Amino acid sequence: MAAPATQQIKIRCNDEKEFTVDRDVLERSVLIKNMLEDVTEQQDAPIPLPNVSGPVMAKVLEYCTHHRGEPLPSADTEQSQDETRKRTTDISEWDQKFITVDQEMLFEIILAANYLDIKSLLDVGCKTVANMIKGKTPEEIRKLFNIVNDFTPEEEAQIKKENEWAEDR
Amino acid sequence: MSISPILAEESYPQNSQNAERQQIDSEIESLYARIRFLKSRRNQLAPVSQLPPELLLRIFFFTQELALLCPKSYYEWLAVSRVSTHWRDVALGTSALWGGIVQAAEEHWLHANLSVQRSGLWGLDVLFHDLNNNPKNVDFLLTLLPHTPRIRSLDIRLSAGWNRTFPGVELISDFLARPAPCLESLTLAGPSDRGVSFVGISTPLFMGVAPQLHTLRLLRAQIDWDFIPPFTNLVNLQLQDSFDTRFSLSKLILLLDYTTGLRTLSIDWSYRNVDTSRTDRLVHLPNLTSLDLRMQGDEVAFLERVRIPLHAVQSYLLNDLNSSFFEALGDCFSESPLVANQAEHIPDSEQVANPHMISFRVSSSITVTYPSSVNQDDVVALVQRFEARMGKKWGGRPSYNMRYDIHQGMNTYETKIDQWQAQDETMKDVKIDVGLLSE
Repeated sequence: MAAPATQQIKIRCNDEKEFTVDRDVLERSVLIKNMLEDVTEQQDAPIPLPNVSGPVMAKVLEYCTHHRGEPLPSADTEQSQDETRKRTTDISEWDQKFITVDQEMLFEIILAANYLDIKSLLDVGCKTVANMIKGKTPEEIRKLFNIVNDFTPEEEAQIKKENEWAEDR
Repeated sequence: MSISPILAEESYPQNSQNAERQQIDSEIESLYARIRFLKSRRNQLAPVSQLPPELLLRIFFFTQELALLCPKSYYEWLAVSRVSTHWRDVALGTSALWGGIVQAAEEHWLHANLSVQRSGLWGLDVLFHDLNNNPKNVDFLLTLLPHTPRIRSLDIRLSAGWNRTFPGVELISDFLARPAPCLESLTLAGPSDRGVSFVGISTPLFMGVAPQLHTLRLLRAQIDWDFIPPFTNLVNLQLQDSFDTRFSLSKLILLLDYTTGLRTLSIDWSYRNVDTSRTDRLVHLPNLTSLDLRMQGDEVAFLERVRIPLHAVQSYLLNDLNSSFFEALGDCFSESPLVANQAEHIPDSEQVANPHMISFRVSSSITVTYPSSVNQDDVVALVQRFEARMGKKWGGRPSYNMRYDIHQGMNTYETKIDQWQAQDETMKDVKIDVGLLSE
């Protein structure tokens, strides 16, 4: 018996770029999954995604296609994570390669994952940034993200005091 | 002539200069403020600044978790609170971020104090890594003591250089004697190079109040087992090398009697008390997924007193391998409905022709490590008898098929021997993969 045809869903990004994607791939996004569940009749009009651009959506879909079929985090999983309150900082090899993009794209992916409610992708993005920060001094972090020291003299004094505390053995 | 008017005349230009200086200072200050404003605006243009505070915070939490991998440099994560005003506002504005308290190096005392202050009323996750006799550790323990009610996890690991006369021992006892309404996880680890206890409290543990406790790990540590409160929410229990003569199998069974939600159980006692007061109580652990036993000969007595699901991953380190072990093993599997729930449903195509049969397959992994002095032929005979016994118990021959391949098991066995020989020539390791197909 032939396998049932997978339903195709059309989405439209904020730059008018459209994608036609298998439903199960798109349902990695809890936002889209809920939208599709709310729609009772088959509709041909593309789902508008005003907060995501075409190039970013292409990357998000690459991730969703690779991870299609994997179990979505359930309320139970969330609860058990909360039990241990330990976040795992591991990133799989494929995910690491996938997320090796320039900073602008990295943050766009994080924002898109947050908007589309794809927790696993959000975590991959945030862990990657955390890894970039790890072991760096404030100055090195500023340099990494192209930001400058804008502290007030009072804040500077407070930070200096914290460091003096650390040195006061 | 009075000199006052002269002084007044002379001070006039000075006053004027002061005023001008003040005005310049004020202009400098406003320029600095303007510069800071422009710097902040410039920072807003950085790609990272697109992230809303909640996502920046999520990154900070991951940064903390990464820092925890190396406790001695844990407070490096504080760098995120010293990058810019925006990052600092996000970090300092979130009490939850400051709940992680790590005492693992000398320079940590003050950072740990700072974290306690900034955490507000939030739950604390406290790690004493390599706790030694330094008096400053006592000071910090004293600081932390009033915050006991909000400690969420407490992990105390003594350093090898730890001394029993260290006054901190009494403080640790104080921690354990107080009610712990929020405590979810407790780890007590004695120094790895000593066979002595470091905790001895006469009052009930946590005054009997630790309703949230789901993880209890006692490694080379002792508590008073006569005053163990019912840990009804316990999910993970690990007992290792307690050297505790007051502990016994019957006390363990008593403890397990309250913990029906237990998922992982690991017991490794090298120096145990000979148990003369064994109980006939039978304990059901329907949620168990992992069992690791190294009980110096008490395995059979343990297995006779528990019922566990077949799908639990089991590992045994035995002093001897004989028929009583396999008999007890065969008896300890519960017939809980959970077994069926955990079973992998077999696709229609694989099912036998009878459409009225509902088939399921249960996979179990049992690893048994035993001394190399045990005869190999005896092991094969024991495993075969175990297989037959299991087949009989789980439904009888017509509707039941035990899928255990002794030759495959032997191959696994051979491979494992090589691995073990490199580490310990006195022990052998065999993995028994049991596959059940039942209707």
